[in-house]
Amino acid sequence: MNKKLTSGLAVLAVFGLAISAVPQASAATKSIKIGLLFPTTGPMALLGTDQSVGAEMVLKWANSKGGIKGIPIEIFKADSKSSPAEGATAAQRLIDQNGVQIIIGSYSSGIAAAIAPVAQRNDVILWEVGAVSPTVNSQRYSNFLRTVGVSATYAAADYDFTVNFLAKKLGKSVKELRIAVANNDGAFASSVGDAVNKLFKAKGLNIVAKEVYPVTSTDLTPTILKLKAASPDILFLTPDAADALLFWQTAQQQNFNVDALIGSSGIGGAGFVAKFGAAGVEGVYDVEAPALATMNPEGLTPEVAALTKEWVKAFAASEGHPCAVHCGDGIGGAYTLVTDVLPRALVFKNTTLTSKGIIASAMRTNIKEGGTPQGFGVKFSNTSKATPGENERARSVIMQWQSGSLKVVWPAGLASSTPVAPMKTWADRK
Amino acid sequence: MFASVLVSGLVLGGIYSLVGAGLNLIFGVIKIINFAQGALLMFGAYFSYWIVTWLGIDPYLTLPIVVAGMGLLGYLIQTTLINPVLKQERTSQLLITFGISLLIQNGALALWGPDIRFVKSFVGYNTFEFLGIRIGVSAAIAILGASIIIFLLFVFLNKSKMGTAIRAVSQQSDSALLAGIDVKRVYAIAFAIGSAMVGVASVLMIPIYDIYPLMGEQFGVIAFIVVVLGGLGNVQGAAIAGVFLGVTQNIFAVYVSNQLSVAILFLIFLITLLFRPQGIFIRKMRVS
Amino acid sequence: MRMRKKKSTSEPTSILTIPGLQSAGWPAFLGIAVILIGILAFPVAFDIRFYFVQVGILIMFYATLGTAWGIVGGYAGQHSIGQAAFVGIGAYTSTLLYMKLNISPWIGLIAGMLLSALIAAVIGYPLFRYGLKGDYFALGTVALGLIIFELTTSFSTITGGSQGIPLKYEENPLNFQFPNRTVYYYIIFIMWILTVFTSYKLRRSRAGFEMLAVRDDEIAAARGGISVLKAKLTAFILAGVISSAAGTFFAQFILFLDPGTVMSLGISVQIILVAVLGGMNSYLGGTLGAIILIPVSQFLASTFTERPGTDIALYGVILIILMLFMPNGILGLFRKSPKWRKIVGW
Repeated sequence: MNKKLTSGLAVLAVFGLAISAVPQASAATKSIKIGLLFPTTGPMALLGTDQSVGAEMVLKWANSKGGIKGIPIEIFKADSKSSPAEGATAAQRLIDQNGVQIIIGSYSSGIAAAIAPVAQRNDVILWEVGAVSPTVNSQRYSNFLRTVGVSATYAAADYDFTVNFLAKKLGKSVKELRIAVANNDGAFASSVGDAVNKLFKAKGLNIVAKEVYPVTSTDLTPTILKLKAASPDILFLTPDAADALLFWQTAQQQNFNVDALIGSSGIGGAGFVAKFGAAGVEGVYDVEAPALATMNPEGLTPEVAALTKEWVKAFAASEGHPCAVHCGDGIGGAYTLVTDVLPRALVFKNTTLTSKGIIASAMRTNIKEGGTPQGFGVKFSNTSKATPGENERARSVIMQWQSGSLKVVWPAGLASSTPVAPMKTWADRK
Repeated sequence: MFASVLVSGLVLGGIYSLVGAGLNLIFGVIKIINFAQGALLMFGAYFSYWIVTWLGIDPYLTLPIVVAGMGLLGYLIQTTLINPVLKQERTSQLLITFGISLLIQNGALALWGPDIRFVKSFVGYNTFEFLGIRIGVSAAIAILGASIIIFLLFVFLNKSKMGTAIRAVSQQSDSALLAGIDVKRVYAIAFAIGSAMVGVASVLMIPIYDIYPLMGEQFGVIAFIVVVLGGLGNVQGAAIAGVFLGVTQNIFAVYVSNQLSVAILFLIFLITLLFRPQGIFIRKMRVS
Repeated sequence: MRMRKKKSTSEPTSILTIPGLQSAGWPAFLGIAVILIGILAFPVAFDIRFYFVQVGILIMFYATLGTAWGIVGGYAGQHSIGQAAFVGIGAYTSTLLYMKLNISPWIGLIAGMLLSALIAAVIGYPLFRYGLKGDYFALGTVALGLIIFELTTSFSTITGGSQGIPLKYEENPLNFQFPNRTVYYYIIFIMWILTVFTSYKLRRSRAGFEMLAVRDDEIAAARGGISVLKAKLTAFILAGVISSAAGTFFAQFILFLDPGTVMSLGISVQIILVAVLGGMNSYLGGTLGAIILIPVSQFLASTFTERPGTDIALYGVILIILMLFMPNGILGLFRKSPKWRKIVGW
């Protein structure tokens, strides 16, 4: 036989072997299809959009670097319309019409809980960057992976800060402190409020007021008057975007003063400082995943810090407001996905991306503190734990409005500033 | 504390009366369940907001423009979208208003995004204080404005020719037709005036409440409660009803259950509909 | 059956027409059979993606609810804007029994229907007894729906409140859960067919005749010996029971439950939309409305993804246009022709 024919046959043989070695159904992955499913309309639109935009930025960055191990990411966006049922349908649509393998979502716990079974059943990964209720994966789906901390991390940060800083600064023993907890009855706020109440009660602290107001309330004066009557030293407030503003305005008008206010959500939003001015919000605390724009970059590894700085700048330029907490959720969550879990998953299986591969990769994820844009590390709980797929290293931090900027003040490693207490009274502001 | 709660309820009630005033003409006269009431409130708010942003004037000064604009919008809505289906099932009309609300709310979202906007008036967040009770100055202005508007409406409905025509149509549209009144035109004017009043409410409310696409939802529902409690077309009744609702809501929130303080309003609504649908606060001098 | 003479109006009197598909002749039956076979074969025919099956499920879900609404709104003339409350009662009853007491959702389905019947009777009695009419009835049902919504949110230790309840997933037909999700399609198909059939039969029955008589002229009907209260209450309870069953189904399908998913005002309005667009007086109305509105909204949602809100705003425009030009719904366009009125049961 001549040489050409031999080599041709050899190539064919190798090719044939290669094809038969790879399972017929999944050829080498040509592109990684990722769906971004967030509430971009409805009451959750404001912060849900931030998470989506943040995640999208990181995915696009990954593509600009040639994709994951050379494989490009195809990005598909969908709107869950602030509704779990719509979220489940949109998830199915992303899976069937766009062929996504990974859904990054969801901002809301209810929507996440509705998407999780859809993801599980279609063997697609739900990469959760925003929802905080601990019950979201109560069914222990293996395809659920959450990067952000659950509501218990909020309570833990609150407690830690109270016991190790506020008590001393306010000159009272921990048991002497008068604690008030207020939240609206929506899913996020009640999940955090419940977590705080539970933890503080278990630790024997003195809760003097527990106020739950309807999310549809048109007047927060009754809530403020009741809180005022209880004379708390510290108020833990969990509102959403709009009622955060209404609360603070009513607090000003009713001259409601506390030594420390630790809020969340809308309290840490750009609208908060825009409406009340730097002097008006000075000293207010916010507990959540860190606001990227004002975190101490020294708490991050140098390369993560550099990247985060770029993204923060790009976000502000395109969205017109700083990259705060929810933007951070999107960026931080997507970062772990594209720089750690996905590359390893591709190495596993001969450049074929499967859900099992992603999960196996995630179980080996071991990012130390400072290794992600949000500052905390990543280690996913495995199936032997009560709830699998949770980031055991996720944390909430305490931030404080200082000179019009939301600075991370606790814990020290990520802090870009020192906390100040007690908070000024309304009379002393301005 | 009780005095503070009571006063806060009165203030809230004044705002409720203001919001209900516009609906009184729309629901009371045209008898249409207007699902777009909240969306109209939001529209007026954004309208005022953009004027403030472009011209840099105080929000209160936008009143004449917003009132005129909203009146025109109301007239257009009635003539193009509702008059054509007047003889049809009420439910179809209701669904048209639902479509209008979807369009306005989501149009605002699509155009201007979900960001919460705000305006600051010359009074800022200052308060009046007396005997330890505090009222926001902007709230006081809103109540003053509400009273003036309601009074003007009352005068209009009782003393002017058009006002009398409106009352006639509201009571008995068939007889009014026989009397030579152009019912469709009356409806259009009623919707226009109703919308204009919503515009007044928007301008008076935005120094207190923030502006975002869904801001009007809850107020839209409460406007209906106010109107029904007060009696359709009954201007003073609606004013009293609004105050009653505000006081009830806040006292209930403080002394019974904060979480159910909005639900209690719905319960009052239901009970009124069951037992006194013509309204609780009807006075002798009923307007219609 | 005595026919009462109605005061003359420009519209032909519905109660004088007994709808019957027989008048359409055998081509109609053939057509219906073909359509039904098509629907049954749809999920398995072309190796179709599940998303389209899911849209089919949503269509039949809303078709069921819309047809049920047609009984209370179209036949009895009571335009209730609180129908979603019963969807929620059914969903929460079966789910809570399943999650807390491990009772099979099939039993929960029945339990929910019974509870809904009871609540509908308890609520309906004062509503109808006090003669709540027209707009006031509609507003009363809005108030009811909102109250039930707030109560469900407030009693969060029982209902999970606004955080909702993720349902246990145990693949077991006895638990109303199926590994092959297409089975849900067939279940809702059966529910839908049963509902349409019930509505059709009701329309031809004495009870249906009474409902229509009450709708057209309450006083005349009462004088004719018809119990107005019974007619309205029967319609209200029947609609509630059907909605409840659909609610249980939906919870089992979505595997998550919170007040906003099953009992919001938005859902009540969506149900009415579907029924009115199709034509509320016809037993086919709900189905027709669902077949149009659900795909339209899904299509808009998947097409206009750039500026959030655009798709919903456009949906609003479409609604306005449809209601302006077809205020009686699509099937209502046929109401002037006696032959078509018989077929669609207008």
